[in-house]
Amino acid sequence: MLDALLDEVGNRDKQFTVYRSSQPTEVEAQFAAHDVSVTQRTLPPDGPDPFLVIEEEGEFAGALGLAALDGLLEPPIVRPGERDDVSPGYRVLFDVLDETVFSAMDRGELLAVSREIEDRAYRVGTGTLHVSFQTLSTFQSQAEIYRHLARATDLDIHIYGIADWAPPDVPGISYHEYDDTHGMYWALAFDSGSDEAQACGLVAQEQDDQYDGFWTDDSDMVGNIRATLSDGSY
Amino acid sequence: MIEYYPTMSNDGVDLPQRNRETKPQTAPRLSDDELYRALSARRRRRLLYLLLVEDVATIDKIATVLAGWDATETGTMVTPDERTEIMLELRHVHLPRLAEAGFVAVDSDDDTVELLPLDDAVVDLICQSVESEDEARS
Repeated sequence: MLDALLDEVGNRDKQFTVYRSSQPTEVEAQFAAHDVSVTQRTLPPDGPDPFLVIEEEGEFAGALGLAALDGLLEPPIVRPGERDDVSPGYRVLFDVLDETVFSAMDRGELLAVSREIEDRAYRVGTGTLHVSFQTLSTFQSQAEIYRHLARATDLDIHIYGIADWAPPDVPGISYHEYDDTHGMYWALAFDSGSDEAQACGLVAQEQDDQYDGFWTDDSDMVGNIRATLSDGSY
Repeated sequence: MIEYYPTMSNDGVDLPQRNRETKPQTAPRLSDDELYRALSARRRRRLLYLLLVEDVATIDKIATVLAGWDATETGTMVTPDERTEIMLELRHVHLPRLAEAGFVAVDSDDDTVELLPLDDAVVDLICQSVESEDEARS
């Protein structure tokens, strides 16, 4: 199931084309972090202002001026509703921007991203945090951090892993063992309770000491990760 | 080409020479009313302006760029339906008009549009009309 999520967030069927007359725009650099293919086309210098064309599976999905796009990406990001009549361009754009896909990340980098998610959970202080360490012995080095997290907040914390270590009993933390066939996922899902805007999560898969995966701020996707972990179908 | 001039009509008089310029005789000139009618629509002016940069383009691509151009002005996302509408307008209104006025040749087999050779004065007019419109906007 987690690998299905990994497939789903890939952006390889999406194509962004920036039309502009001169200098590379900031937005192009922003897209670079999102594993989406971005190409540039040249416009005549006195022609239109720069704009972005969004395609999905080879079909035109939308076009948006870069000035409007900048405004859209300025925090706080206000996204168009989920109504069916929203232009597919917005849907594809936010699909791409919501999930950051990464590849060949090392353990230290992944720990740093995980720390971001734990920090946010700490600051919000309520909601549930589901974390899959590949093995409970991996959790051992993080146990003190989580003990503090559980003590200082009202978080409901769930830890998943192969049971190769006996973790300490801590109020607020429950443990879920899984068998060794599914041990290769590193995943976090923080659902922030009432404030969906704070939801975040990540899924990573280990391959040759490196990790491929994605992180997300989309509360639905966070819900998918959480559901996958808690129903044991990863 | 010689069969275009039936010998029977040649009574020893020189045949009229075909225009040897590279421009076809139908090339629009500043004095033509047709030229101003052709340039009266913003879509057509923009289309020609784009073709000045890229001599040949597919109708598909032209529609995409014109849609993007619209987007820079409205500040909203252009939808696939809106782009389809632009494409239909191009096919059924603007391109036939421009082809008739001698600005472009449309190849319906591969859906491409080619800019025909234009007088420099006409090129200037196209550029000026598009650029002044842009300035008026900003």
